[in-house]
Amino acid sequence: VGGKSDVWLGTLSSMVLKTLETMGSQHGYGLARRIEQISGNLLVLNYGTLYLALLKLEQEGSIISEWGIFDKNRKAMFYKLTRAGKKHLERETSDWEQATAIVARFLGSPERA
Amino acid sequence: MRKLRALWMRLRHAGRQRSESDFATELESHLDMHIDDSIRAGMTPEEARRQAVIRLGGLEQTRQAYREQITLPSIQSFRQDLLYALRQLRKAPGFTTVAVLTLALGIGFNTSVFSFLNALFLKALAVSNPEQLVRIYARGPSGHYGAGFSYPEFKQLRDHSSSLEALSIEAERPQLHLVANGDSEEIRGEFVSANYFTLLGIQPRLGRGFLPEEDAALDRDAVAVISDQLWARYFNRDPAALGSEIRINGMLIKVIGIAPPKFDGDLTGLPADIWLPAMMFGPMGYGCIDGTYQCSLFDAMIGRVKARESAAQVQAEADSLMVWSATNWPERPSRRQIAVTSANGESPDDQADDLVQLHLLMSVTACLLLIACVNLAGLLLARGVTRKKEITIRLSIGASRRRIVKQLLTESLMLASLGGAVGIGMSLAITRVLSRFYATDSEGFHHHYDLGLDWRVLLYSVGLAIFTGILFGLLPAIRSSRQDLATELKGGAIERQTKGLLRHVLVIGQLALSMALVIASGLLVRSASTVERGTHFDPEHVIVMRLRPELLKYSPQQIETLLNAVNQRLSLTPGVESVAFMEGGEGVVWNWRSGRDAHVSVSGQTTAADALPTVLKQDVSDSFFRTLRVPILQGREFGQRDRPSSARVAVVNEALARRFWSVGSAVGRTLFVNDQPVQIIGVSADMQPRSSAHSPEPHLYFSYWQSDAVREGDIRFAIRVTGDANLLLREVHKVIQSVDANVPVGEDMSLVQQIKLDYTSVLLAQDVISLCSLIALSLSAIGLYSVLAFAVRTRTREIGVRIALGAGRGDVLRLFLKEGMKLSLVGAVTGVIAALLATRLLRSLLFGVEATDVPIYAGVVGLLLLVALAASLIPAARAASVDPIEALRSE
Repeated sequence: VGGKSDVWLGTLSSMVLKTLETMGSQHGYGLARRIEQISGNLLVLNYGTLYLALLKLEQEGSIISEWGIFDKNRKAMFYKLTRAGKKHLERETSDWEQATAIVARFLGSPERA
Repeated sequence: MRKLRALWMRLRHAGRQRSESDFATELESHLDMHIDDSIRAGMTPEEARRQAVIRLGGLEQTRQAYREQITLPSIQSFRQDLLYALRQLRKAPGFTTVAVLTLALGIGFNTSVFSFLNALFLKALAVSNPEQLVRIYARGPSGHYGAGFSYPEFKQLRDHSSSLEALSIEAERPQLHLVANGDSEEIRGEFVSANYFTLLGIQPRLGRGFLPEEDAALDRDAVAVISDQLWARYFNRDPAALGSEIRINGMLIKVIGIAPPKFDGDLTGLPADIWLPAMMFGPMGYGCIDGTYQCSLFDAMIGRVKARESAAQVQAEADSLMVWSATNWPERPSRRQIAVTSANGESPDDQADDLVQLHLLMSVTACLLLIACVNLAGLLLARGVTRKKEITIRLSIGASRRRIVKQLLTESLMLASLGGAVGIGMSLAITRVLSRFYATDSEGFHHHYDLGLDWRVLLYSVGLAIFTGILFGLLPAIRSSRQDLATELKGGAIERQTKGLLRHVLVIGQLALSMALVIASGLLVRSASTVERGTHFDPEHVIVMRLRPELLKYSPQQIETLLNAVNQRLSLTPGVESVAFMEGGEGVVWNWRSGRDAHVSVSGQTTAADALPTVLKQDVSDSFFRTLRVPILQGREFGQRDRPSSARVAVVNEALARRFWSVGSAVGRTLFVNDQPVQIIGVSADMQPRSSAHSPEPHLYFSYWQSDAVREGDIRFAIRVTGDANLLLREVHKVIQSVDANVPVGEDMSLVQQIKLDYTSVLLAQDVISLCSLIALSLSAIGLYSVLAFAVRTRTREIGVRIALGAGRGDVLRLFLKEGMKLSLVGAVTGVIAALLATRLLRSLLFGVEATDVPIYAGVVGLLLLVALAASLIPAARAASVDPIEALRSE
């Protein structure tokens, strides 16, 4: 579980950041659903893990949380991207692009290698 | 950066509850949304809730993971361990008290000895930037650091050094004779250069330091800075003291400044009360007043090294000074070597002396601490067995072994910290007692060491506490965590005998170590009593006193008149039995060290085979041997007829007589002393040898009036009285003052007292080792007791079976007594071997007793077995009183 979930958590936090960037403020359940939806329901999230990822991101200062109201009178915790989070996301994105580009050169088109 | 921030947030959240309850609310709302969605999709409410919890990955699991992430788990578990340990220790107050006290004693003694080491060797001077200061010594041919410098040598180095920012010469004298405000005493003073106070960065609290011109001309500026203490003693802290005059060695000196309260000079252990210009050193009786000021020898120099220079640079410059001296000052003893040392700590000569003592004390206190640790390890092992159930349960519900060891170690460390805290308190008291041994030396001079706690001492004791905590805690912790879960939970009925082996070894080790300590203390008690009794002299009812007329520059004629008058008046004083005196410059009245080197031979040729390299020679008055009750074995001692006009005579001790005349009497023979013939008139017994390990050394006595001692002044008196020496001390003092009110008097004490001060090392070692060995012995008895008590407790069923099968109470009693005695016998044998090896360290402290003294060894073995028997008796009796029915039912 350990090593795998770390990688998973790393990827998951990037997804969270990206989703928050496009959607703005959002609560945990909404985020989870949105991520699953974007993945075309290929991903089935463990929601507990998502909350852990949210906590970590908040401790790093990438997101902030505050209580908010939805459905007129129900209380939920809403998460929002901070400026540091935005920067973090940009770096993650470029790192990801670079990494996939490198891997793609190896795996993507074997005849060129 | 992000990682750091996260760590910081987690640290901040350690122990906070709010976020956790927030999270509970958040999870609730999450589940609500999820369930609503699922119901909308057509599930039953029950199924919807079940699915939602499953998708979350379990409600409790999620909460736990969140809890662990919100703070640092290790901190959290450490907090738990700490609280748990505290509860455990509170539940066993008896064990906790014994453990804390045991550790406190061990740590307290070690910290005290370290306080001394710190004060003697490490502590920096209370001056500005002490690390930049160096002291420059000249080492003589024999290696000691007191060969000294002349003033021209100092000037040469000061004026030509490029590595030193400032340099001051210095000479310390402990016996300046102060007369002021109708009182007089011996005080310690330092003769220094004018820049001394600015060099050290010391600002007088009142008045000023020396001006450069006050140290420019010999015998011109009679000015002084006095200590705050002296100011308080003689002037009641009256500012009018500035500008007033005090008399030192008969000279009038003007007070120009008062040193700040915390400053007592730059010599560790030698507190100064007055500072005088170096130019007054010779004029005040410690050298000469000639044109170039070459014939006064100063002790050392103190310098401040420039910012980017090193002590090695200073060394090189000072080395070249010796080359300069060889050409410019050829009459000085050559073969001096320069030593540049730190200015902090005692002088290297004193350090070498004290190191021997500290070495011994540290070995003893380390031994005590080791015994304490072994004792505690034993107690903890036993406790571990009784806590087996608790630990087994914790292991079986999922605690890791590492976690258990950590928990148990936390407990030990907590004990050690408590012990350390109490120990530091204890060390303050112990240090105060120990410092009394160092307050006065045998010449009556005062010493003072700054023994206060500082960061080094605190660090040492904290480190020691942690070290001991791990030392005594680790093994039992590992032992306890290694449980066979299956058998233990089934009832753990079968107690295996092999498990006790470690505990037995620990007890044997303790017994052996304390046995070695008790033997050492036995030897030292014997030695101390021998020392205090005196070997071939009788110290009881004798007063010693030192007169220094030479400090007032008396002529030999005046000294002779003074001596005769004092001698006569004292002889007529009621209560005085007899009076003797001797040349005082070299050592106390009665010791193997007293006297000056002399070459002796039978033939008169120093190179001949019948010559001794050197012997010590003392110049003593008539009745010297009678007064000290040194037996005269042959011939007679000095009397009225031995005067300058008559033939030169000598008394030799037995060692010297044996050396030259192994057959026949030495009396009447001629001996050549420094190539001069003298006639031997008597042979005396060998007085106070160096130690049992040394054979008596040859010693030689001249008649005081036939020597040139009278030119030097400095006379030591020994006065035998009929009553208590201490009571007559004042009376004798008064008699001397009635003869001459000004003559400096010092070293006034009873001979018994002087011996105590001279043999501080023996008496201190005796006191410390006796106390430590007593504690060690008690600890070992407790250790033995607890091992046996434990054996009885765990073997109750076996005992019950034995009794039920017909064993008598006496059989059971004997069974356990035998076990106790077996352990102590092995311990005793090991202890004897350890003692034989270790008491070699004591050799130099043993007088009148050999390191292998059989009666002491036998006595201590007997004592140990007796103590062991007493310690085994209680548990054995408890075993014998076991009720078989109860015992069998309880399991």
